[in-house]
Amino acid sequence: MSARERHPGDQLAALVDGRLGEPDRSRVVSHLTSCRACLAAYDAQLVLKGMLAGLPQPPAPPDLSERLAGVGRGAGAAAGRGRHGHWPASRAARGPGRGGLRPRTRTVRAGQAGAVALTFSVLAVGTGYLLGGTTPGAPVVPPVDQYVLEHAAVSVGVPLTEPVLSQLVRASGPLLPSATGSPVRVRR
Amino acid sequence: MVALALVASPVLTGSSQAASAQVVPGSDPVALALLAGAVQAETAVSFTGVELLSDPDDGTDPTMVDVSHVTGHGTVVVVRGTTTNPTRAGFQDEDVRRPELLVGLLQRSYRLVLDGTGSVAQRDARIVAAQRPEGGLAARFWLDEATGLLLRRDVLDRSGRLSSSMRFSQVRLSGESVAYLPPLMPSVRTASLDQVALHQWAAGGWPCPERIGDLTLFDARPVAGASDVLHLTYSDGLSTVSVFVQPGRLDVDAFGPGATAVISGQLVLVRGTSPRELLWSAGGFVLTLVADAPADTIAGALADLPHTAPPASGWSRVERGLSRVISWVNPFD
Repeated sequence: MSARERHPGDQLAALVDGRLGEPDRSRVVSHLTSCRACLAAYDAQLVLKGMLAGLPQPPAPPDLSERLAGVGRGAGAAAGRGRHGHWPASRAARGPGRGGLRPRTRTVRAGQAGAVALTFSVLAVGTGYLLGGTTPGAPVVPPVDQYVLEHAAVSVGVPLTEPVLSQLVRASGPLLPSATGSPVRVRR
Repeated sequence: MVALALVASPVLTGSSQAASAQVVPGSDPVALALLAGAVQAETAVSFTGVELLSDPDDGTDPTMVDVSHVTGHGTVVVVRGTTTNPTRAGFQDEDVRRPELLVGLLQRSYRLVLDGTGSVAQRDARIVAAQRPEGGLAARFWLDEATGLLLRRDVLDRSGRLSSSMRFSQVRLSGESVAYLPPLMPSVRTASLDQVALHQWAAGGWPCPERIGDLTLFDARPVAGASDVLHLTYSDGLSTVSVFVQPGRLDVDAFGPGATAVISGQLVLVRGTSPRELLWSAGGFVLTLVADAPADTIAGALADLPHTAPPASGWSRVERGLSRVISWVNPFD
């Protein structure tokens, strides 16, 4: 099997990630232009990469919800949860006599927590509402005049059309010389 | 034969080979051969002539253009001035044309048939017509019987109305040198992308459809001096449309007061009439469309390009905003 016929294997993934250096890149790219199976595999990996990029953020640590759930519970239950329950543990450290609050105090604390939660919710919803109404990305001013010239230069490649002539007619400024600036000679 | 010809084009490779089989059936092989001969004659025949270019959408008088082609060297083009436009001149290298493109692009969108004979600039011509698959005429080519040169070309929109026309009013079979050296036509400074490189842009999120409306992608390249701007060029062999894609959102205020239009359901900023220049934002990208094409071709192309998401309201707007905040703080995003 020649080098051209050798299938790239793991190098496909490196190519998808843009990590494959020369000369391997050229060899794999050349192989893909002639091997339908590998091109299909390459396409599949691109799709997979796109799907992974589109996934939501990773899940929170498994004990996070457990810790959060312990916030509103009594100190005794929290103290029994061990030293990983940070907030309940610190509350337990205040001493056995202070773990049980009087009903009025509990009501006030619950009210305060509710107010904080309500404030946070309003802020989150408000922020989300404000940001959700805008278009993402940095503001851009495309250089349209440059694009028109690039369009003319590429589209003239299609035979029997005259787009560059159209540009000549409608160009608002002087025509640009070529990038190379080489002199032009027309000889018979 | 057509598929092989298209492979020579950097973008029209790989998976596009399958698309090359999707030509409109029913073309006359003689019509195809005549068009291929016209492409060859464009560089192989030395000639001097006067062309008339008209664009009814402009509502202006036809433009007169002096053209002189010298085989093996290139074409000198002089656009005669008017009361409002000065005379302009340019030199076009012979190798800017990509002869393999025309018949392949035409065949993907149209049925090519013989359509009788005619006369242009006192020269006998055979006529080739491009018919739409669903019926109706898209274009006519008048090809010189003696040399194969294209003498006239009419492009029609879907309603059958003339959209643009080019025809020789005079033509003489000999190239002529010019008294001075005009500047070169615009040129590009970056290389075309191959299919693999284009896949990588697409994987990065850049929209790179292979077809938009009736047009086929035949060239893709980054814009010189801007590594994150992708220039995609589409054609059906009659019209060309470029789409420039770059990350960000359109700074509408920077353009000052200007015209807007809704085309294929997309609100766009409009600059210029011919070529038409349309700008809009969608999906985190700014798209700039530059087109030498009838209005209905542009509408068909725009329909297949990304659209701005409809304004969110209520809870969906809150969700969109919060997801954006999460994306800012998410180290894995």
